[in-house]
Amino acid sequence: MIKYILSILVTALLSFVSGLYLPWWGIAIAAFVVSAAIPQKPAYSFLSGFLGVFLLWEVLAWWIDNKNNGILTQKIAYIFGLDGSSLLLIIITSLIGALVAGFAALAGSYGRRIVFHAPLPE
Amino acid sequence: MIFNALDHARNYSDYLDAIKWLHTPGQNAAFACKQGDIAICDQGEFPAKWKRQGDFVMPGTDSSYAWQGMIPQRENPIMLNPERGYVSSANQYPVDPGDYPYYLGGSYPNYRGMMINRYLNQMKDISIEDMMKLQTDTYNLFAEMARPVLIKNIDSSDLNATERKFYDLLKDWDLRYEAESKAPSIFKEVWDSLTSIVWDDDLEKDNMPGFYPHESTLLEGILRDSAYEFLDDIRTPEKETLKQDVNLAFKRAAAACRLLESEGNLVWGKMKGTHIEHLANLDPFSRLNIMNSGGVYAINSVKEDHGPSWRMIVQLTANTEAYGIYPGGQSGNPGSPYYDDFVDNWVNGKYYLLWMMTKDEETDKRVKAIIRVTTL
Repeated sequence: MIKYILSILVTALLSFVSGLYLPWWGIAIAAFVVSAAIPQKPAYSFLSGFLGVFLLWEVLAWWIDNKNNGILTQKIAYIFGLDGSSLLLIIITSLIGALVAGFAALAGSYGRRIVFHAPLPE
Repeated sequence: MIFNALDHARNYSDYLDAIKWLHTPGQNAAFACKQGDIAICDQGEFPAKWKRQGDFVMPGTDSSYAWQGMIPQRENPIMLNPERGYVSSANQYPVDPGDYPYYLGGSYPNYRGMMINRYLNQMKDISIEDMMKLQTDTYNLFAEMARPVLIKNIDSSDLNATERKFYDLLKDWDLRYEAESKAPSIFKEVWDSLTSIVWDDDLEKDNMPGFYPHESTLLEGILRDSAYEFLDDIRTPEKETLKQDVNLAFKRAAAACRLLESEGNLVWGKMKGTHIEHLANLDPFSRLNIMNSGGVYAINSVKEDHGPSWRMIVQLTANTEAYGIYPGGQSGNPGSPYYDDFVDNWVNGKYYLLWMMTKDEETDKRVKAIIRVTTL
């Protein structure tokens, strides 16, 4: 449980830092590295990558949108057929990031097994 | 090149030297300077054509149909310090075709130009506010000419209650395209029905695509009353008169107006439906359904999707005072509050003071950065 929460927090932190230097796909590297470093069952790895980035992007996007008074998100949400719902747009944004990070974490978890011939942790 | 030269121009001859670089497209280049000279030139490089050359399809294999030469620059129409005290242009025909040796062709409705000149002839001691009112004026000179013919020919005893209401609105219209007024929409509906009633039968005969003749052509025709041969519907044995055509047009228009009114769309601002589109036609990045006054033959000739966007007034007193506005914003980013914040003021005929910066204002706190350019 501690590993799980720790993974989520470190993924979020690393993803945030990667965003300062790399394009958006830095989140995939961050999630991969974290799950390779902190051994967990593949499903938990996936979930911690997924939740780490989901929570990070949710907060970040909401923060940016709040400073913009929702001008841009509302327009984009209309273009995407979301009836102008900023909230829905932000959730979808976060989901996409979360899926990328989740699969990267899954890859990290399996990758660790192959490289170290390590059995899955119980 | 031309704008660099215009930026450095100090007088009329500098202006002439500058605009000679403007070859295409043709532009109405107006000029005023602090010494008091004014001028306007229909500047560009135009082919010297014989009458109506190029207005219709011509045999491309026969070189004698090609352009025979260009109009020499010095023979472009130009006006310097006219006695009437002003120069003006609203894309009207730039010359008197009887006086000018070349055929310019093209389509040039004259109504806005005539209206501008009518106002300027009356105006004295013109202030900046007067010019703002002039630029946003909504008076429809075309309707001034056309409405009497329509009213005279509509048989007002043969109208039902709704038709009567629309007839009265049309008759009492102040001839202004005001956003909240219904009469401009009624006039447009009547005119459009009349256009289709007069021309459709003739165009159908030749199986031609639906290009209607100029509106001014139909106006001139109906001013000649029933002598105008196109009034007849050639599909019927009967010989239709102007009165029949106008009454039919009014009845059809009234039906269309009743429908529009039931949808709440008969007021001019809604019927016209001005919209300012994003380049990719993305609605959320555009401004749709703008309720504004003005119309095609008014000085403020706002149409559905284009019109007089950039409005500018410059007063060449010792300190140049200038005002301007356009329907957009200073930012191209659709997420910026400055993306479209000029639009509402543009709609309401407001202007911004333009900062004609002087040298000693370099330290002004509005200056964010300074780029110095030195020649090597």
